[in-house]
Amino acid sequence: MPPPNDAAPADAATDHADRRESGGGRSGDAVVRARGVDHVFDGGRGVHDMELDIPQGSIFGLVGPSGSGKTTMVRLILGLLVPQDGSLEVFGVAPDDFSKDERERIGFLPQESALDPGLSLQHNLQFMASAYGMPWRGRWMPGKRAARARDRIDELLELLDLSDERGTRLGDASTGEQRRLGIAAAMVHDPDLLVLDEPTAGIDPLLREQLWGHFDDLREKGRTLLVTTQYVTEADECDLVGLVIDGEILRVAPPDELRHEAFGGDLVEVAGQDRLPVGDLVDVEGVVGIQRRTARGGLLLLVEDAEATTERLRTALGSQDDDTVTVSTHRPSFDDVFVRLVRAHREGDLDSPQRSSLARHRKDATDA
Amino acid sequence: MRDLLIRPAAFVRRELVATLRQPWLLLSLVLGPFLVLFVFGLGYSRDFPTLTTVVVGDEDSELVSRVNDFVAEAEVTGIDYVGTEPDREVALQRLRDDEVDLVVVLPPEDEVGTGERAIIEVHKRSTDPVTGAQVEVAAETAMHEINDQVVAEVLGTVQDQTATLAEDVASARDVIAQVQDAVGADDVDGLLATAETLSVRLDTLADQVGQASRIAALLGIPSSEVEESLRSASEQLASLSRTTPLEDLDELDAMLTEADDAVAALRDADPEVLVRPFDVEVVSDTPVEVTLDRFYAPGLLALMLQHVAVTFAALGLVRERRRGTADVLRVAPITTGQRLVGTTIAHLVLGAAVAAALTALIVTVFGVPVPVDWLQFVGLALLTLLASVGYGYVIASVARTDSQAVQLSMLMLLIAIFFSGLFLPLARINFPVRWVSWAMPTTHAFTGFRELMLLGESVSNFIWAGLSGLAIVLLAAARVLIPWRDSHP
Repeated sequence: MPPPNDAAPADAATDHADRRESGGGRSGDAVVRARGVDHVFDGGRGVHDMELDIPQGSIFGLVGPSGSGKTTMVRLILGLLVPQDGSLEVFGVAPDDFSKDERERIGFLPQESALDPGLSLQHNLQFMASAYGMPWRGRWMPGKRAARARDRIDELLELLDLSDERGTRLGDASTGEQRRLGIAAAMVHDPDLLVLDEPTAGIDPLLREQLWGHFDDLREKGRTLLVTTQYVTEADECDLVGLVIDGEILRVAPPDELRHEAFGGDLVEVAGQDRLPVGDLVDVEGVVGIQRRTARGGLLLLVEDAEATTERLRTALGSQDDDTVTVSTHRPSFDDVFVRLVRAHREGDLDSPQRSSLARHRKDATDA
Repeated sequence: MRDLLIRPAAFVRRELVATLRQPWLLLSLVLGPFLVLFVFGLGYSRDFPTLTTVVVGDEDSELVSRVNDFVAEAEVTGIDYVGTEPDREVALQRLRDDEVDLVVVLPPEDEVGTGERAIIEVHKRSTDPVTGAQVEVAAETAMHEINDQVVAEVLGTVQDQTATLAEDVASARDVIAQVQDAVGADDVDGLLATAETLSVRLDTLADQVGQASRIAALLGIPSSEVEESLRSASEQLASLSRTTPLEDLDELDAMLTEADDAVAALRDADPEVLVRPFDVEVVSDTPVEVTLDRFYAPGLLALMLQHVAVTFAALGLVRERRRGTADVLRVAPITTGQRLVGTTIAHLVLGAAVAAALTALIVTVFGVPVPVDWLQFVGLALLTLLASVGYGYVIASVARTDSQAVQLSMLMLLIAIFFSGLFLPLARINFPVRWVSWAMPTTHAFTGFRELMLLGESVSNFIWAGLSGLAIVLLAAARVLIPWRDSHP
């Protein structure tokens, strides 16, 4: 992956850096703060009671299925929609009162390619740079600002592996190239808050990994990223995840916390013995129940705390003396986490998912 | 200030670069309309089509023979006379079967010369209003021609009669001379006898003049006065007595001289001139002859400027909205004003390029005179583009999709064709519908370009005011409507 951007891209971006230093820039301060925000369209769909705080210098993921309301939330945050109720602030200002200064601090990648398919990749970037006050002039025209803008564009094309395609018409570029160009366009002025609506849609896994790596770099440099995704597994890449279902944010928590909540505890996998003493394992302190049998004949146990219980299980099974027995923490995929939380929500049981999970596990244990 | 320029300039450059990357689009914008006009000029015939005509009437009738003579002598153009058909229904069926284009039904002979105008029916079946109008004009012309022939023939007959009349007048004057000679003599009986003879002759003359009075009236001869004078003279001669002096003989002679002159004028006049006293010679006051292609060339230029500007402006904004660019721009620190100014300048530059190329072509190929004032020409083209761009923006604020924008742009084109004076003269469009015409930038541009190129005049103030007003109102409306539509896609 190319090195992260350290050079100031242009004056506009330099101004942002100054603002980051002077105010609203302390790590952990909420860049976006929403309280009870409603925006309901005709037909009842929309966003209900949106509550969230997006700390500065974090990657906040809005995760949810297609049509769940993620894009509406993004549009509210960007000022493209006005809340019908509740309060919403970005950089301490209501989005519909954004001044030029606030707008210069935001970068936006919409879900669809919003750039001109008739222009080359480079021309598209030059246009977007000019939209943020960076001059678009040819190399034969004098001007330091224009030269810095050209350097910034070269840098972004390089970063997103688009240098060789800079002259390609956007309409002739692949879906992945178009998406990467959109990200470059959103980043061209080095914004403080980067709002990316489905940035990895249609991008192959290798490039997706690269992009997340770059998002990490941006976070390290103090930028705040709001990312929506329907790839639930990408939630693991975020510092905070907002789980969006039917226009509501069900939970806002770090990924591991959500995982714990979804299953009502942590998961530990026990494997190695032909026939595991199920009754003994359930009686170990901290074990809540048996989640299921694994494909290799082992057991997946639901425990209150994986770290503490693993040792007790090893003792109970005597695995310290038996190399054939393994006890390890199991990290379920975020798909499973997501499915469980959504199911619990739809069954009206999300407020205490642990209870429903426990009940199910005890039944599983009895069956086993 | 620098930022104020950078953002609009970004739009200008984006539009220009995007268009220049499509050279075929530019070429088709210029060459397309030019070729349309060129091929139209090549293929359009200024002559009316020949109409196959059959006459319903008896071959032996005098009217048919008169029509035959007329067709043969007058060498009527545009009429292919294919003979007569005695049965009216058969002739009309041939018209319905498209075998003939015209059926001329002559009136029965017993309806002619009854003191009422006899009707000649002309049946046509063309769906083309131009050909229909041609038939009506041709029929009117033919009827005038036949009527004139009839009048000329009558005049000829009258002129033949005036030969005798002139002799009679001359004879009467001789008698007057004799009477005057006799006044001094003692032959009073002879004088009275001569006067009586002359009295009778003058009465006869008065009758003849009376008969020819209608024709004389055509000549502007006061025939009734002549007739009255002759009768008065006759009565005076008849009342001559031995005791009454003949003081009036000189006056009588003068009257007869006047009558002689009138009769001579009638006899010597050309019947053709009498029937058609005026001929027409049309003298064009335009710097060059305005042929059909020269007339349409400025119109085409005006129409293309409007269409290109309306379509590009409307589609550009609708596409920005459809693909989400409008949202990105709303998030960015760009005002709607900067966006519209940049886009408008781009459309003006592109439209001006199209205008320059089209103008060069119509001047060099069609011989349309160069504008008398280039500054006004450029100003008019830019103002036309500006008003048209305004229309495009308003369309963009109404249309939700590309196809809606294209449909509305095409509707604008159709309105411009019908209402701008290209299709029908503006004078034939009544108020308040003519306001529709003046709401079209094409109408102003077409009028202004004709003034500058075909009439060699300056553009009238009404055109400047109208176009400026349109541009201001439309752009102001766009400034309000575009943000609203962007937030309500």
